Amino acid sequence: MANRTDPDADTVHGANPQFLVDRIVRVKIYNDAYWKEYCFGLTTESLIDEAARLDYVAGTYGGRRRPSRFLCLFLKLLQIQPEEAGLRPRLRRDVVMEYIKQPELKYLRALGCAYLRITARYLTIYQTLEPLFADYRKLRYRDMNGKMSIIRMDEFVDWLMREETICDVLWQKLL
Amino acid sequence: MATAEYKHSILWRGEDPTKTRFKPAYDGSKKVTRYRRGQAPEWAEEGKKVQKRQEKPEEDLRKAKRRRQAAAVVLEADSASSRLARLQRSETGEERKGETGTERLLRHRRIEEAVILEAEPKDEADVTEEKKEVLKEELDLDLKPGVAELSFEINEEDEDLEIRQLRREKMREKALSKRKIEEDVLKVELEEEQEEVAEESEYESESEEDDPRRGPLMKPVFVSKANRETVREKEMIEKEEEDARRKKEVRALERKAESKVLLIDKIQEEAEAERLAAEEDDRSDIELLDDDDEKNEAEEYELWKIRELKRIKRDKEERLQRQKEIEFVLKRRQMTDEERAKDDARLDAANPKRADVKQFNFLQKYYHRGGFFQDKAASGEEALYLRDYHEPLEEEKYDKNLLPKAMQLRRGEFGKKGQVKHSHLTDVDTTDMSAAWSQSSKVVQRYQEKMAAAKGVTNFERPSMKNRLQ
Repeated sequence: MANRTDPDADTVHGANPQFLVDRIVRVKIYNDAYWKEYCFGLTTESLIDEAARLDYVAGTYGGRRRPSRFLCLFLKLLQIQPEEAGLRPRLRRDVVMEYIKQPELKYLRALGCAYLRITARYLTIYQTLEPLFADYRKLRYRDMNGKMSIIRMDEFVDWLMREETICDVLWQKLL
Repeated sequence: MATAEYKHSILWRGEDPTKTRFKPAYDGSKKVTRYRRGQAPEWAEEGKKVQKRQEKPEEDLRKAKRRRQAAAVVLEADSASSRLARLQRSETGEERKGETGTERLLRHRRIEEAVILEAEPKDEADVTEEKKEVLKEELDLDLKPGVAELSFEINEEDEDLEIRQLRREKMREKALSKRKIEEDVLKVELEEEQEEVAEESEYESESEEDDPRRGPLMKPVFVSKANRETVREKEMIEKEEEDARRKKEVRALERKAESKVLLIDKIQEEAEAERLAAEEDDRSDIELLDDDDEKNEAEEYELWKIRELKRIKRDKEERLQRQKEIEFVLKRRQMTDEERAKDDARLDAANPKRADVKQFNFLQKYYHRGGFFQDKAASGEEALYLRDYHEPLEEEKYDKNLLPKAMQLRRGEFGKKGQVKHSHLTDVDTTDMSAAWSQSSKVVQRYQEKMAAAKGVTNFERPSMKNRLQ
């Protein structure tokens, strides 16, 4: 009930947007404390606040594959679909674009990139993400074993464009 | 025997109730004497029968008494046999058929004789002599039978208390007099062995019946409390107990203190661990890795440039590769067969297939490299896959033909569960090499060539006019 996709949301790639994340990972996120406590009833604005508190980019980590906050917010984005329906197509994705364009919160930018990558068409992806190669800010990254490391934003975007699996989410290959 | 009728067979189902004769539980032949209140039971006859019993076994008893006193060691036949004998006697019950209750009671009260084993079988004369000697030792013993008070009877059925008391007094007097006589003799001994006296003083309280039978007695001398061994011993024991108790208490206290200390340590440790664990959480990791972009801007820029250039290069190469592939495919489509063959040869030379097959020794073990991860082997990423696993071991270099037939097996087979008789395939090859067609002699070869359709098998020349015309 609380985990239902917004009924106004459109399908993404022909399916429920939340299903873009694998079932196992999704269930793990639903059972996570952070999700239950903080991600409940988030809107696009409050999401910004939450994203501001992010510390690292990660998928699931550790022995029991705990979902990271980044991943929880990612799923939240998919759930609420921050595109305002009814607007003209040109104005859609405004919110996400804003997330990406803003220079202050780099983790929010990363989040936006990830969301864009999974939902948008490849033309949009190429057009939006390529300029971001210029951004070489540091991001903390937590790998599957839980080990922290530093990556750069441009590396992260590069992964988004090329890799099959980042942060425990399967991305469709770009052409 | 495995029949169902046999009692101890496994198939035995139990007694067949139809076969056994029925025995009712109630047996009317036995008479049950009932007890009724107020009625004296049958065996309780007053007086008469009791006295009768007394006189008869008197002499026997006296004899027994003498023997007991005289013998150095009186051994009973083992209790089992005597008991058994008694039981048997009771079972048969010959003597006791016509017995009344009183008689039975008297019989029970009579003490059975002890069988002497050590004493030699003596003649009647000796016995009487012994008797006299014994009597002499025992002063003032009246031999007259019938005088119940003085005769030393063990009959406890003497219900007359007074007589018993009188007897006791007399015995005491006798004992005292005896002691007085022997006092002088023992005085010397007393001085030497004072400890024995203590025992003797206890000895006083022993039963009177034992006194005349014992040897020469020691004179009891008073020992003050301070010198008494027993008291001293008792005190020592008490002191030790007290010491032990005190030590225990002390130890208990120590242990308490120790355990307290241990507990404190443990709690501290746990608290530490908890703290560390809590710290180990994201926080510490995050703090360790600095997220700050203000530092080392120049360095960061350099690194970024390198990365960017690498990416560009990578993209270019990918594009190039793609291009080459398309070109190659197009070119190949346009080739003729010859050219294709040449191209294949060239490619084969460029990418050699697996390295030359090694020569295996006799019964050398073959190692299958497996079907997975061969891309790693081909590319050379993983050094593990580049190893040559067909290098012979020391035991494989050794010529196994020298071994006995049973040991001519591959490595790791002999003596183990996986050992099989099969060693190598040619061992079980039953081809008959003497067959005419399998010989590789010239005759056979010519014959084969002459056979129909076999003539031109090895000849690869094209049929030409030259040959035909010949």
